[in-house]
Amino acid sequence: MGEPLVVGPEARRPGDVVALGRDVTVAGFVAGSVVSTGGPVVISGHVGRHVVVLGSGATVRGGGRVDGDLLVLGGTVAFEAGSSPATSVGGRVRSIEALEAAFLAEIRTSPVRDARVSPLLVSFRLFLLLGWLLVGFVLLRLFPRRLLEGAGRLPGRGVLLGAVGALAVLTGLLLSAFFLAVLPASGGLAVTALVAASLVVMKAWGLSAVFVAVGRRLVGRVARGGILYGDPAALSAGLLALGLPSLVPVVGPVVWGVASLVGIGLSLLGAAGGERRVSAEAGFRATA
Amino acid sequence: MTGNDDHPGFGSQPEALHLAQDRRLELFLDEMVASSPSLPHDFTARVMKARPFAPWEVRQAGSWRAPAAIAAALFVSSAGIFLAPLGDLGPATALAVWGNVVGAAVARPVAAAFSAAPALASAVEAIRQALSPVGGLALGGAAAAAAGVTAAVLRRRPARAPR
Repeated sequence: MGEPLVVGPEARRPGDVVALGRDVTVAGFVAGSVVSTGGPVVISGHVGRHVVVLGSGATVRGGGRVDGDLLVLGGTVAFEAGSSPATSVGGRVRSIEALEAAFLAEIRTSPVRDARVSPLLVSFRLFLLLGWLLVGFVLLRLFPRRLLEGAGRLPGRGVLLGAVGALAVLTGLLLSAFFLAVLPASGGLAVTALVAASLVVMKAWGLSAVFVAVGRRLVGRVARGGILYGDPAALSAGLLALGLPSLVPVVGPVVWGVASLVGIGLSLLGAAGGERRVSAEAGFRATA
Repeated sequence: MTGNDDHPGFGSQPEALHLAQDRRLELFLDEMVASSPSLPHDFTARVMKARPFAPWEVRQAGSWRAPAAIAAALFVSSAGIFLAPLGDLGPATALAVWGNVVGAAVARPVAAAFSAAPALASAVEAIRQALSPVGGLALGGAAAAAAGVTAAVLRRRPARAPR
């Protein structure tokens, strides 16, 4: 963490205040926006435009005033010493809390980890698992050969595919950061949204194949005619095997996260054309 | 051996084409078996029992009984856990509350993300202006390196054993 960035009570800043990994305190006047990434912001002075905090929290104190929006992603918003959203913020207050119900449930995946278990969160998590199951059903019904081929690629290659998935996510993050840094904001955000959407699509496809592969290990010995025979049943069993642990503390997020990375790796491997083909002749020559 | 209720035309063309080819091959094998007097009378039944699940079989309704039951169980569990404390409201009202809450939980984040976009855009613009050109180049280099490593790993992807 760098030196704190302080706009003193008598100070007037004509433009924006941008801080990367630093605490920000505004006791004076900032005509533009205050943007902080990875550092908390305390406002007891006056901000002429927006306050945007990414990866940390914001506190508005006393007579602190934000004329624009107060947007906090990845942290909490606090109003202290007489301040309030209605009197201290001219625009809207947006925080991760509004996104939490859906996205945090997906990212954290473990509502039981919280001591105060909310039935709503568990209920919503089960609803999300149902959503994943339905996505898998649709993909399996529409593209059975490709999806089942993908599932067949997983056994024995989990570590490699997980590494490929992790590399793909890292590439996506760095590409987004790069385009956000070099393109105008709207263009950068559009590219970021495109990258995120691509990763979501790859995750959905790959996770469905992972569910089938895991389910085959669980119900693969069921004889033809049995209720759990076949790949649709394997997909369902695999989803339960990977999804229900996501309600368990600590283990759940790890299991779901690893499965997601392996799924992304599987999708990329499929897009790259599957396994390399080694001809029988080449194999014979190598043996000879 | 080929008693499926396939519906051609569903899904992408190549996928449907592959499935149709699978089905034709099954029919051909069926005819070969039927016209071969030297095979035991229960040959078809034994092959049916031993062979793995084929992709075209996802279009048989029988394959979906257990998955449908599991999906229903997830739905009932989700609704049940939420509705249990609301039993006093009556089933219809409690179910309506559950529907509204789940709907809001899905729709509100999307609305919130859209409403936050202008402020986020101005924040990104401010960060972009504060970032030095060297920082941008470093990000680009790191992104290119990560993409290169990913491509290299995929190029050396695992080999399929020769058939």
